[in-house]
Amino acid sequence: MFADFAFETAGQIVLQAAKLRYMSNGALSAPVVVRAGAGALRSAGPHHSGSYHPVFAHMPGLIVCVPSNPADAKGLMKTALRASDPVLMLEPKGLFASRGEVPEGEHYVPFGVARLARAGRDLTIVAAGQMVPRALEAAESLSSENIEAEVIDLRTILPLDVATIMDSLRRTHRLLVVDEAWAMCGLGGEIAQAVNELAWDELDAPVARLHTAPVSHPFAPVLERSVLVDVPRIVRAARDLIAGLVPVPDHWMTTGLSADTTLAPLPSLSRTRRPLRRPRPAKGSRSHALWRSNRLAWHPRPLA
Amino acid sequence: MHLYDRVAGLFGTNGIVGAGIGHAVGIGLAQRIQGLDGIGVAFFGDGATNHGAFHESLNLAAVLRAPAVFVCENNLYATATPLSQVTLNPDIASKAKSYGMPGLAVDGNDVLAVWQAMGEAAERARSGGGPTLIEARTYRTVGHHEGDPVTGTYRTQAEVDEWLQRDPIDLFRRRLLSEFGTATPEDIAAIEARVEAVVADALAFARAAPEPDPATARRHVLADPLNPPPALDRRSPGSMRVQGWLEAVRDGIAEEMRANSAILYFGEGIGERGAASPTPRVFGPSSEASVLLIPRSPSKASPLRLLAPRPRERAACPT
Repeated sequence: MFADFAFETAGQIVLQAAKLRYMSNGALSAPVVVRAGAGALRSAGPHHSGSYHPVFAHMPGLIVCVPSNPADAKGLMKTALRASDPVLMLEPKGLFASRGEVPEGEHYVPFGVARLARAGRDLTIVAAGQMVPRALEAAESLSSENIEAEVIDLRTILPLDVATIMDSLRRTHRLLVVDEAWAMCGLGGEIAQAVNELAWDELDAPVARLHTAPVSHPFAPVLERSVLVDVPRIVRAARDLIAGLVPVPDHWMTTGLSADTTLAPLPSLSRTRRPLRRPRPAKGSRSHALWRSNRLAWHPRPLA
Repeated sequence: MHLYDRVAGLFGTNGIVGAGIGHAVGIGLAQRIQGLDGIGVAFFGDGATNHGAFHESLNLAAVLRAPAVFVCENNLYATATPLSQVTLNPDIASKAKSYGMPGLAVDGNDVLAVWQAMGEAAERARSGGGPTLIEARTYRTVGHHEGDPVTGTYRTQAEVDEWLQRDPIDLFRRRLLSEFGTATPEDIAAIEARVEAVVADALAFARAAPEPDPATARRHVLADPLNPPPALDRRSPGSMRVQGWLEAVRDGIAEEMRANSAILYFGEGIGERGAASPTPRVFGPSSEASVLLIPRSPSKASPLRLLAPRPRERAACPT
């Protein structure tokens, strides 16, 4: 099944399976594995190419796996079939033809444990699914420029192994999130905010992110290539990040129109509320003079 | 709504119209694969029969001969929407024919007629005869929800009065007393007093129950611990071999299916066609003849449970 088709039964996944344990106060659960081929591969078109792991990770009650190699795919599948919660097993169909070393016999990969796919000192690239081999290829290319990238393979989107990401960030101090899903309310923003909350002081540059362009997957190969994250884009983003430059994405679909303030007048100083107080600048300072002359509102860092 | 009681076998009074119909199919199949004789029963209204879930569930239940019974309480209105406005075939029982299963329309206000129909359907489900659709034709003499006007908007007083004459409890009470003579007025009064006491007790219990502790609000989202025990056993892997992705995943699924006879595998492109799925060959000695793509009865002998319907295995449509 293609991951896109999951929405044909989305209600059963997100409203029924995901909520059953909670709604029954732990008495029931839905041990079901939804296995789907996800991600873009050779112009499969808008209904056969999507990576929707952020949508499912958004919903409490679902486990979301996006493996990147045959061993993890098998190990996560075996864990999913032993688990008692609903699992979305989103297998990148771009990797179906890949081969790799797989442990013989019993082999279980736990949920919520990322894999250090490559060690490096200069930046951390966080990826999942078919972005992992691309990130590794980019890392090899960067290595020839003396940039050593650490690559973290998330393996599961929920649970999200933030501890491994932060550990890596403490070594490299730069973070690039590479994800095949779209940026809006997505994995890049989620991980960047996790860094704000857990390891902000470790950053030597803002967290960067690369996602598929915010369009449905076009059919024409040349168009499809233009919207996907590829190795050259990862290499360029990593180089820029080292230089302190972070791409500003354009997925917000901003309109350029100014905010509608007609229905929200500025708060008045109500008698029942304490008036808003601003600290006054010290007397004799330049900002004090500006404040006195009322030429502009006082700012703690006065303009030069 | 939103009630679950595992002990009572109540799998949920679903908040989503039609969403529970498929659950009856799954519950029935789960019983069968575990060698139990339980069946899945779904109750729903006439409004749900125009929902895709109704048609998908009936079709799958029929083709898999699921031990399930579908009970439509047709009370003529989906909240305030008359059935006649949303379908050109208001004969709901007849829809069973589309899926090759028996469909019975019964007087939903006749307790014995419903009991008899349900008994037959449950027996058919248990004995491997497959699912049944029962349409119980009835009426809702109260509002759909608190504050819903009983009449004056979508129904007339005359219509409600007519149905009140046929109240199922009143009818049954009269039959027990006069037609069958199996109960005395004292018996009936005792039953009614007992029921009222049960309701009063439940109400008193609910009112006296303390509010839940907010600290419990985050329980039961996922299993705790979240990982199953084998996944936490961090043994170093033994020997390795090079495998393709689909082959590796297929082996993993096959291993788990051998270890757990209650795993069911559904899907398109599985079975013989699907390179990604366990096929009869994966199980070595299992001959194809023992592989049940459409199990018709509990088959503990078969190690493989692929539920992809194939044309030549399709059951003849019962009428």
